[in-house]
Amino acid sequence: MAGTLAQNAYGQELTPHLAHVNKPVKAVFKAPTVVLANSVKNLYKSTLNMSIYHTFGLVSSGVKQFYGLDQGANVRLGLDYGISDNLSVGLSRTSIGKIVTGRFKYSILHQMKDNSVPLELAMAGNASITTIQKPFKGSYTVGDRMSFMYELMAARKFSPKLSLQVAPIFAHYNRVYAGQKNNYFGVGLSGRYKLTGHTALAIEYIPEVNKAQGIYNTFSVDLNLETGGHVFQLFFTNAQDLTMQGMLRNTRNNFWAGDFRFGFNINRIFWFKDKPSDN
Amino acid sequence: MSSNHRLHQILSIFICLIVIFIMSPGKVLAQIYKTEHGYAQFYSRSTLENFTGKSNYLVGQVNLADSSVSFYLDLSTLSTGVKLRDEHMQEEFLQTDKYPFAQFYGKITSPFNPASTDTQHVTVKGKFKIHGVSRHITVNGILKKSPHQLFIHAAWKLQLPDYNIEIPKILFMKVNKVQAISIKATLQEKKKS
Repeated sequence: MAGTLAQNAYGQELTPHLAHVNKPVKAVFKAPTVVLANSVKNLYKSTLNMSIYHTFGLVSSGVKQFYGLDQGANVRLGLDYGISDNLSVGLSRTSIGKIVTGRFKYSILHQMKDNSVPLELAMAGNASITTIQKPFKGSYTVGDRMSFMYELMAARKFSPKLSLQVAPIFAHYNRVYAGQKNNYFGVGLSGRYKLTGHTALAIEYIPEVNKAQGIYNTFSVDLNLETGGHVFQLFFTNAQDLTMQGMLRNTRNNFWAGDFRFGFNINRIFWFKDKPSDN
Repeated sequence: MSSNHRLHQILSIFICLIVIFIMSPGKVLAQIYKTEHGYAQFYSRSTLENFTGKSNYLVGQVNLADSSVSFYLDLSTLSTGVKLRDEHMQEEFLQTDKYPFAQFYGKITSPFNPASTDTQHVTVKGKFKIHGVSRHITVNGILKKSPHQLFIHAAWKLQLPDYNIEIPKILFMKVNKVQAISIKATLQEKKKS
C-alpha cells in the first residue's frame, strides 16, 4: 500500500496551493474617491496623489451651452500625501466657492485575505474655508467661513470584481443663509465593479436625511480607467459642489429629471522611497 | 513433481515481488526532495529604475530518480519593497486574482550523477506557465546534494510579451520587457510516510 502511494507521487507535477500568508486584500477601491466622495482607499506611506477633479455644466443645457462644456465648470485641485500606510493628509482648492480644504483619512481596519478581518474600515474628515469676498452683510469672520465634514467608511471587496461601501457622513457649516441648516447628514452607498483588467464601473448614491426643499440626493455613475500610477474617472453626476459637505448642502439638480453634468477626475500617484522589502 | 516445481516458482516470484515492494519505496523515496520556502526573485532593469521582486514561498519538488522537477510560486507573495508598485504589479500586470501562480514542470535532460555530492551543472527542460500562458523553456542551473538535502539554483530570462503580460503605455513605473528570474532553494529529503 505504501508502495502504491509513493508510486503515484513519482514524476507528478505539484498541484499549486496558495501560500498561507495572511495579507490585506489589495485594491478594495483603486482611487481615493469612488466617484466624488471618499473611498476607503488610502495612500501608501510616502506616496503623493496629485488630483484634478473637473465637472462641467448641465448636459441638459443643450447645444447652446454645448451640453454643459461652455459654462458651470468647477475644478478642484488636490495634493494628498501618505504619512503612513494608514494615515494620509491633503490640501485642495475648489473653484466654485473658492474653497480651500484640509483633509485627512485614517484606515482603522484592513480587510484580510483569510477573512480574519472581513471589512475595510476608515474615517475621514475635512475642514474647509471659503475665501470668497463677502457673501453676508456685516461681520463675516474666519470662523463664519468654515465648514467641516466627518465620515466613517465601511467597505468590502466581495470578489476580485466587486467592492461595496457604506459611509455615514456628517457635515457642519458654521454660518449659513437664513432658512438653511447648519448640520447635514447623509449616507454614502457606493460600489465598484471591474469590467476588465484596467476598467471599472462605479456608482455612488448619497441619500440625505431630512434634506431641504429643492435639494436632491447626489447620484454619480462613473467609468474608471486604471493604469499603474493613474486612475482616470469619467462620470455623470448631479452634484456641482466638489466638497463632500457641499454635495450634501448644495446639490440642486435632479439626476433622474436628466439634470446631470459630465466630469472627470485624474489621480496621479507618485512614490518616493524605495525601501528593501520585508515580506 | 511438476506441480511442486510450479508452486516453488510461484512462491519465489511472490517473494521477489514482496522484496521489491518493501525495498523500492525506501530507495526511491530518498531521491525525492521538497521545499515550501524556496526563494524566487525577478530583477527588472531599466535606465530609470531598477527593482527586485522577492518571495520566500517557492514550493518545489525534485525527484532524482526520474529527473522530474516541479516548482510553483504564489505570485501574491512577491514583494518589490514599494507597496503601490506591488499593487500595480499584481492587480494589473500579473492579474494574480485570475492567474495566482507561476508554475514549472520539467525534466533534467543533461546527464548527472544522483549519488554525487559535488556541485553539478544541469539543464532542465519543461513547461513554464504564468499569466495563463504556457511555454516550453530550457533552464540551466546547478544542484548539490548533501546528506538529506538538495540545494538548487537556477536563472533564466523571461520575456513579458511571451506571456501576454502587457505594460500599459501611460505608466510612471518603468518596466523592462525582459525580466531576470532566479530561484534558489534548499530542498529536504522527503521522509517515508
